[in-house]
Amino acid sequence: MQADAELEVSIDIPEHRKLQVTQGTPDRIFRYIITTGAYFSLAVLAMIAGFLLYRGFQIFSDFGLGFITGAKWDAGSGDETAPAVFGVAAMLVGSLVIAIMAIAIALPFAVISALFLEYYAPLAIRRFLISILDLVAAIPSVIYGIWGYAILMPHVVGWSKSLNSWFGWFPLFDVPAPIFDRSPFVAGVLLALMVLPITTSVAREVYSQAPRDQIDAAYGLGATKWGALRTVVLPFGKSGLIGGAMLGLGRALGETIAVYLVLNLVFKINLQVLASAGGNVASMIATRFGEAGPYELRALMAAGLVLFLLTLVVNALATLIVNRSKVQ
Amino acid sequence: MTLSLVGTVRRGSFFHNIDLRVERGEVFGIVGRNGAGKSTLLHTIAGLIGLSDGELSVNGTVWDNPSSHTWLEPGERSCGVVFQDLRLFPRMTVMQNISFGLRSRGIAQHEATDRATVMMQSVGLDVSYSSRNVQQLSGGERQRVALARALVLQPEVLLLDEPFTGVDQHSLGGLRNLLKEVVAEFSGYVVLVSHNQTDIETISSRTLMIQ
Repeated sequence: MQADAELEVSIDIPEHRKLQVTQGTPDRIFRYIITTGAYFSLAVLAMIAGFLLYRGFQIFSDFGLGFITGAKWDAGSGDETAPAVFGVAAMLVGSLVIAIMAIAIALPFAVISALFLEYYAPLAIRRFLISILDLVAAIPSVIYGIWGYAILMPHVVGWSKSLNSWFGWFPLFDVPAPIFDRSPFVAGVLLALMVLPITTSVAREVYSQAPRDQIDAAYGLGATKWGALRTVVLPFGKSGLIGGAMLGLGRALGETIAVYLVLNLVFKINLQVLASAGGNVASMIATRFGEAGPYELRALMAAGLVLFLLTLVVNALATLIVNRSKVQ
Repeated sequence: MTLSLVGTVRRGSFFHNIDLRVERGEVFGIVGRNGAGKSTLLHTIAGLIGLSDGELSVNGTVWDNPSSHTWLEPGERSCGVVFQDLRLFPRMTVMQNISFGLRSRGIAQHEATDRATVMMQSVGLDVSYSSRNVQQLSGGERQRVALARALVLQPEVLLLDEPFTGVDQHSLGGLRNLLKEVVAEFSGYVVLVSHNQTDIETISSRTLMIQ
């Protein structure tokens, strides 16, 4: 036997087997149905955007970027002496300010409510509260608006006065005149109540899926209930909570009639949330729609398109944030 | 001084009438097929499941007795648990996992970190692993983290649930030796659960078979 004999090893590596899956008729039918459904939703979205673009295109070509950056909205007199000027900046800023305020107010309550419902409430009370929550989510906006105007606003005006007297040095809580009703803050608080049920509902759903074995592990290591929730449930539900908040933000951005009832429509960029001036795109469209001439109607369609795109951007951002937090 | 559990442990469709007495310094093995209720027994001692009837006491202190409504919360029981599936907190680092129990018991951050660091070295984990996320570790390393997390609490009762599950053959020998050393030095009560008769025989002094 030679010590330096070469060892030849020959291994036949078989080629990957190609699997061919033959779909049966029921599979194919189901596939067609769900594919059609998915494309139909996209087609509806595209048609809405196309319609708004078609109807509002003249405004974009007349005003260009000025339509987005300008705050003035004046239908003019119809002749050259007082030409029409349209810009949605004030309403866009108003939409964002009110919606962000609503989410900022609603989110902590949503988290607390969801944790209570899922981990503290006795079963009978939990079921009752969940049905109440679902019921509250179904109340029409106009009811919220009327209730907000008649019942909520007087209280919020009191809170606004207090905020202004304590924190008036901060530009956000300063006011040009001591009038506190029909302000973005009132609209923000009302919208917070409106988005609370859906945000709580999503948060509760997410928290209910937190891994039970890890909660047990936390208990086993000596954690209190709050410690276990803080360690396991809250980090687990982070991405879902963001998703829920964004869902609420979407509703808040597009809310029309409730905002219309509790907010003074003023075409001026206003970041003083306690001041009695503001507006959002949706309520502005509702306010102006009835008396608009053909040219202003086009401007309202263009404003609708801008709001539509803003909502899409917010939702895209939400998806991005949710995906990122899932990876982490 | 004994750990005594006399009563009924019930979960789902099975229940066991248990009469279990463990002496201090003893390693008590529980063996049985999968699904026999071995883990449930450990969870009952740890306070994650309540007894249906009977009494669980350690050193004469009653931890659980349904008839007298005595119930000690898991955090008040001096238990360290190594769970079968480890149950490390996936969003936390090695250090955060090991010091979690100490922090939950109100130990200051710096003291918890010091004690966790010492424990890491005791179980053969390099201190440089402190800031690593537990998801980046191998099966054997994760097992060591779980062991350190239980031991750092300096518990009276150490509960080991299938401590070699998910460990690759390469790490198994080292981990087995480590566990032998740990239980030999441990002065409290050790209850070890396994479906592997060999593990039980090599480490524990007495064995209970659950059918």
